[in-house]
Amino acid sequence: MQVVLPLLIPLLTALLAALAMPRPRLQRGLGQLGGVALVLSALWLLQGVMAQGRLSVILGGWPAPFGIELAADPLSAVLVMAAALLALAVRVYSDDHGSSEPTRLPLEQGVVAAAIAITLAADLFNLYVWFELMLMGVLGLLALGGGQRAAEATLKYFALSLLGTLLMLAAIGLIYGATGHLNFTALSQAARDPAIAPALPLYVGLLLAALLLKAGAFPLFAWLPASYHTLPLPLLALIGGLLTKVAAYVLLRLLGDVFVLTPAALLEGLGWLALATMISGVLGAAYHWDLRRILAFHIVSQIGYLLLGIALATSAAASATAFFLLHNILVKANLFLIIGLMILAAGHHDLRRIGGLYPGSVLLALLFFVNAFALVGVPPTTGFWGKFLILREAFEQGRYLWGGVALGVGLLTLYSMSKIWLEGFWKAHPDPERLNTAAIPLGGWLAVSGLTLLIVLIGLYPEPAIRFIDAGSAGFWPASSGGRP
Amino acid sequence: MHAGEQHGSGANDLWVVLIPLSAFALLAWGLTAYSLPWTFALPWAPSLGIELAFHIDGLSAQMLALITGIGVLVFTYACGYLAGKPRRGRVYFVLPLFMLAMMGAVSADDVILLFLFWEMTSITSFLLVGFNHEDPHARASARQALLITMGGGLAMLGGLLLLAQMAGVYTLSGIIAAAPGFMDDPRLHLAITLVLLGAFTKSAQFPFHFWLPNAMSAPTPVSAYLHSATMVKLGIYLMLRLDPAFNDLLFWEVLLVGTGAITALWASVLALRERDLKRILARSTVAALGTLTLLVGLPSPGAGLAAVAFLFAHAVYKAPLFMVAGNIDHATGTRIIDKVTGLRRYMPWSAAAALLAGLSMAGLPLAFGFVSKDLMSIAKSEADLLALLSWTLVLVNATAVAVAAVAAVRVFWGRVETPIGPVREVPWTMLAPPLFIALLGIEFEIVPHLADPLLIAAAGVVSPDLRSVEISASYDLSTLFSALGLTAGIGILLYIAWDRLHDRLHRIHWLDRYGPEATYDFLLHGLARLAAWHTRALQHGRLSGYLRLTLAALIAITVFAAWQGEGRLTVDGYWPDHAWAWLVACSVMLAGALSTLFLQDRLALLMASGLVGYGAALLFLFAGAPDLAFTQFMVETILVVVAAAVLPRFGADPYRAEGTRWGDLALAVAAGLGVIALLLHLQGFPVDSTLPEWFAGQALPAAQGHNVVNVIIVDFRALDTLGEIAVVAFSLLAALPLLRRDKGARDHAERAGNPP
Amino acid sequence: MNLLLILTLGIGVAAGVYLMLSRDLFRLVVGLAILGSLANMILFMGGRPGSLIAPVIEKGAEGLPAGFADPLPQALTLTAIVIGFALLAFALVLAARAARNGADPDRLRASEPKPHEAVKPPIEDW
Repeated sequence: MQVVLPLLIPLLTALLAALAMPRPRLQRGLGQLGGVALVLSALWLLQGVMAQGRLSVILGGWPAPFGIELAADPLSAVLVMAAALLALAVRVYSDDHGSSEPTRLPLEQGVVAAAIAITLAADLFNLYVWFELMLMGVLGLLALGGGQRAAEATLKYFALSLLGTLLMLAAIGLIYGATGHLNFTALSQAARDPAIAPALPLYVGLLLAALLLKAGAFPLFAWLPASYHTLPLPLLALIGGLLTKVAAYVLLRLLGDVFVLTPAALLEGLGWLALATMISGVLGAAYHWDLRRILAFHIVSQIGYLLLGIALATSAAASATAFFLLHNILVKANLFLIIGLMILAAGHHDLRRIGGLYPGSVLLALLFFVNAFALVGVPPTTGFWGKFLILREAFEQGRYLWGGVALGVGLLTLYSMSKIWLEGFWKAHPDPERLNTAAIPLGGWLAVSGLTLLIVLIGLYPEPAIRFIDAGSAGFWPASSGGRP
Repeated sequence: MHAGEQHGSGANDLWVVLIPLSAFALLAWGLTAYSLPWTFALPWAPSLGIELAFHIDGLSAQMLALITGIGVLVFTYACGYLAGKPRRGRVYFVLPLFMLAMMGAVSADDVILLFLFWEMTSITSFLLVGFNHEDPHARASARQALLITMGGGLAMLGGLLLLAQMAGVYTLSGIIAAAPGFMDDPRLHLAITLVLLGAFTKSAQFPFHFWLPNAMSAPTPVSAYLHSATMVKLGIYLMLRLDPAFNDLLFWEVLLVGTGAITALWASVLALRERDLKRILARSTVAALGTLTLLVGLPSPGAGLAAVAFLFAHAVYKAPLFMVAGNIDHATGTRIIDKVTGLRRYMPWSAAAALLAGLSMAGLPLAFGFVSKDLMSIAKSEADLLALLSWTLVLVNATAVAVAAVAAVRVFWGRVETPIGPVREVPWTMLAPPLFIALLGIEFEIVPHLADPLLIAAAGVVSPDLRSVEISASYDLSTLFSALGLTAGIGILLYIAWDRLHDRLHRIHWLDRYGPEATYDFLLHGLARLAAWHTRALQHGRLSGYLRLTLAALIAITVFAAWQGEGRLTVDGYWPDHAWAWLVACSVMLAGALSTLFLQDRLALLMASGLVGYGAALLFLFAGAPDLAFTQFMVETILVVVAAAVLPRFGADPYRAEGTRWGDLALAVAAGLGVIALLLHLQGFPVDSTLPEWFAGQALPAAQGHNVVNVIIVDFRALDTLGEIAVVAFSLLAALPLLRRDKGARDHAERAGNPP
Repeated sequence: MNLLLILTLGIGVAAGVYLMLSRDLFRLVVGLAILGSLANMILFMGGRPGSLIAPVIEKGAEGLPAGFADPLPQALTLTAIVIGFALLAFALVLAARAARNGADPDRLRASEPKPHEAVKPPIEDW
C-alpha cells in the first residue's frame, strides 16, 4: 500500500478534478488536498523504506516476474518525495495566480502521477506506459497556452518526443524478445546469462538512445528549448523539474541496476556525451536573455552532470547521481518559480526589459541569490554536494578532464546567473512604472521560501540524505568497486 | 558625494562596530588565556570524511587579528563614509558577513570548509563592489571580480580535492603532514597548479591582476578592507599555509617567485599610468601582493618571516591611505590627482594621516632587511638570478615610495593649481580610523618588538626551521641602510618624474589592446559570439532540421552500441502453411508504404498510409492475434477518418515544389536498414517461454479467463491498462481546450468577415 | 519467412522516415502515424510470431495446445496501439491547429522567432 499510494493519490486527484471541472473552487480545494495527501504518502513511503530497505508490491498479488512490480528503494523514495514536494509547491504557488483553465489541474496531476510511477515501476513495459502518460499530460499542458505559439511549440515537442517514444517501444519489444522478461529483477538475471549478454548491448543501446532523448542529452534536446518557454511558469517549474530528471533516473536504474554488464565503451561514450550536453546547455543559456529560455537551457546543462555521474558507473557514482537528482529537481524547479515571481514583479520575461529588483525586493533578491548559487554549486548548498560528489568520483577514477569540464561549466553557469542578477536585479528598471513587487502573491512567496529553506537545510547538513541514498545505491554496478572508502 | 555636502558623522550607525570589536576582544582574550594552536572539529559529513574542522595557529591568529582589528577601524570609517546614503543598511549587513567568512577561511582546517568560506568572501565582495549598481561600470567590475575569483576558487577546489585524495585526508594539516609521502605523485603538479590558480586569482596575481583596480568602484571602506587589507591576502595566506609542504619543490618555487616578480613589476609600471588616486593605490596593492607571493616562494626561512611581516605592514599602511583617498573623494567629489592638490589647508587631519601612512610605506624597506640578508647569503650559488630578483624588489619598492609620495605629499602639499570650491574636512568617524592605524604602523616600525610575538608565531608556522637567532641576525644594519637609501633615492626620482613618466606610459596603447584585461573582454565577447553561433546552429527553430539531427543522433548512438556488442544477424528458413497470408499482408503494407512516397495528393497519400495499418491488421490475424487485428483495423479506420476530416485545415500543400530529398532519403534508408538489422539480430537469441507458459497455465485456474490476452490485460498486467486508460482520458482532456478555442477562433473570424 | 516481414518493416520505416522529414506538415504527421504502426509491429515481433494458434483456451479444454502464439506481446501491443491512437488523434487536431501559419513545418516560428541582432536573441513581447 505504501508503494502504490503515491501513484494512486495524484491519479485520483486528477480524476476528481476532471469531474469537478465546472466548479473551480471545489477543484482548487481538491488540488490542495491532493497535494498535501501526496506529500504525506511520500513521507510514509520514505519511512517504510527507511525501516525495511526495499518495498515492493505487485498489484493483484501475482508472483514476481509475472505481474507488474512497483518497487521503492531509497533512491526512488527520495525522488518520490522530491516530486511530491515539488507538486505541492506548484499547487501553493498556482492557487494564488488567479483563475486557470479547468483542465489544467487534472493534467498537472497526471504528469505528477506519471513521474512518480516511472520512478517506482520495476517493469520495462509499464515504464513505457507511464512515459506515455507523462507525454500526454505535458502535451495537454503545453497546448493550454493557447494560440499559434503554443500550438507550434506543442507540435514540435510532440514530433520529437514521439521519435523517442517509438524507439523506446521498439527497444522494449526487442529486449523482451531477447530475454523473455520485462521485470527488472528477472531482466537483470537474464542479461547476465552468457547466452544472451554478449549480444544484448545493441538493444540496451537502443533503449539508451530513447532515454537520452527523453532526458534531453546533446544533441537530442531540440524539443526542450523549442517548447518549454511557452508554458505558464508554475507549470514550467513542474515540468522542468520533473521530466528530464525522471528519464535520467531511469537511465541510472537501468544501467546500474538492471543491465549491469553494459560494455565500458558505451559508458565511456555516455561520459563524452555528458560533457557535450553540459557545455551545449550552458552555451544556450549564455545566449539567451529570456529568463525562461535561460533556465530551460540550464536544464540541459544540468542533465550533463547527471549523465556524467551515470557514466562513471560505480556505486559511489550512483549515489552522487542520485543526490544530484534530488538537488536538481528542487533547485531547478524553485528557480523557475522564482523567475515567475520576477516576471510578475518586473512585468517582462526579457532581461532587457526588466531591472531594479534588488532595491525593489530584498527577499526576492535573497531567494534568487541562494538558488542561483545552489545551481552553480557553491557550498553550503545542495548543488555543491551534488557536484562535489560527482567531481570526487571522477577524480577518483582518474577522469581529470571530465571533472575539469564539470568545474568549468560551473563557471559558465555562474556567468549566466550573474547575467540575471546584473540585468534583473541591479540594473535600474528601464520602465520603472512597470516595477511592482507588491504584485507577488503570498502563495508564491510561500512556495519559493519553503523550497529554499529545504535546499539550505539539506545543504547545511547533507549527511542524512547522503547516508540514506548510499544505502540505496550500494547494489549499483555490483562488479565495480566504488571509489568511496 | 559632492564637494561640501555633509551628512554628519554617521555616529548613529556606530553600533555595527560592536561586531568586529567583540570579535577582536574575544581573540585578544583567547590569545592571552590559551596557548596556540587551538583546534576543534565537529562531524559534518562523516560518510565523506568531511568535518567542521578548525585549526588556529600563529598564522591564523595573525590573520584573525588583522581581520578583526582593521575591521573595527573600517567599520567605524564606513559609518562616516556612508552616512546619509540610501541602502547603507545592506553594507552593514554584508560587511560583517564578509568578516565572518574571512575569519572562517583563515581558521578552517577542512578543505571543503576552506572552500566554503573562500567562495563566501568572493560572493560578499561581489555584492559590495556592486554597491553603486545603477552604474554599469560598477556592475561590470563586480561581475569581473566574481567570475575571476570564483573561477579560481573552482580550480582551487579541484586542486584541493586532488591533494586530499593523494594525502587520504580532507584537512590542510593532514595534507601538509602527508606531503612528503606524495612528492613523487604524478598528480602533484596538476594539483599545485590548480590550487595556485585559486590563490593567484584571489590575490590578484598576473595575469588575473586587473580585477582589483576595477573593483575600486566599491565604496572606499570596502576597498580599504577587502581589496587591500584582508580578502586579497587570502591567496597569500593559502600559499603561506601550504608552503611548509612544498617549500622544497622547485616547481612551487619557480611558479611563486616568477609570478610574484612579474606581478610586482607589471603593477608598478601600471601604477604610473593611472591618474585616479584609488586606482594608483590599487595598482600598488597588486605590486605588494606580487612581492608577497615572491617572498613566499623563496625557499629560505627568513623569507617566510619577511612575508609575514610585510603582509602585516602592508595592511597597516595601505588601509589608511585608502581611507584618505576616500576622504578626498568625499570632500571634493573627485579622486583624480591633477584636480586635487594643496588640500592640507582644508583637510589638515587627513593630511596628517596620509603623511604618517606614507612614511610608514616609504620606510617599509626595513622589513626587507630580512630578505636582503637572505638573498645575499644565497647569492653565492645562484648569483645572477637572485641579483635580478633583488633589483626587481628595489624597483618595486621605489615605486611604492613614489606612490606614497603622491598620496601623502603631492595631494596635500602640492601647489593649488585650480580652485576647487569650498572643501571641508570630513567628520571624525572618517579621520580617527586612518590616523589610528597610521600611528600604529609608525609605532611598529620604531618598536618592532610590539608585534614580534605574533609575527614570529606566524612565521614559525610557515618556516618551522626558523630560529630566533636568525631573526636577530637578520637585522643587519649596513645592508638595511644601503637597501633603504637606494630604494628611497630611486623612489624620489620616480616621484619627481611622475608626470613625465605617466605621459610616456600612457601613450603606449598596445598595453590596453593586448593586455590580460583585453583578453578578459575578448573572452567575454567571444563567449557571447560562440554562444550565439552555437545556439543558432542547434536551436534554429526549423522542425525538419530538429527531426533530422535527432534521428541521425539516435541512429548513431544505436550503431555505436551495436559496434560494442556481438552482432549476429540470423535468418531462419521457417516457412509456415499460412505463408501466403503473410505474403499478402506484407504486400499490402509495402504497397501502402511505398506509394506514400510517390503520391502527390494528400488524400490519396492518407489512404495509402492506411494500407500500412490494414496490412498490419491482416498480419496480426494470421499470427494468432485476432484481438490485435480487430483493434488495429478499428484504430486505423478512425485515424484515417479523423485525418481526412482535418485535412482541409492544412491549407495549400507546400510539397509540390519539392523534388527528391537525397539527404533525407539517405537518413530514411539508414533507419530502414537499422530496423532490419535490429530484427535480424533478434533471431539469434534463444527463446525463453517462462512468461507465456505461466500466463497460459494460470489464465483459467487463477483468473477464470479463456482468452489469455484479455486475462493479461485486465488481470495480470492491469496496471498497464490503468495507465492506458489514463492516457486516453488525458488525450481527451488535452484536446478539449484546443477544440474549444479553435471553435472560438473560428467564430471570431467569421464575425470579422474572413473565413479561417 | 520472417525475413519477408522484417524486410517489409525496414522498407516501411524508411518510407515513414522519408515522409516525416517532408516539408509538408500533413505528411509529417502521416509519417509519424506510419512509424507508430511499425513500432507496434516491432514490439509484436518480440514474441517471435509465426504460430497461427491464438492464445484462447477452448471451452472445456484444460489449457492451450502446444505451439500457441505468445500472448504477452499481444497484450502489450494492444496497449501500445490504443496509446498510440490517443496520441496521434491529439496530434492531428494539434497539427491542424498549428498549420495556420502555413503547412510548412519549417515556418512554425511563432515560438522561436528568427534572430536579427548580431549576438543577441530577439525580444519577444508576449
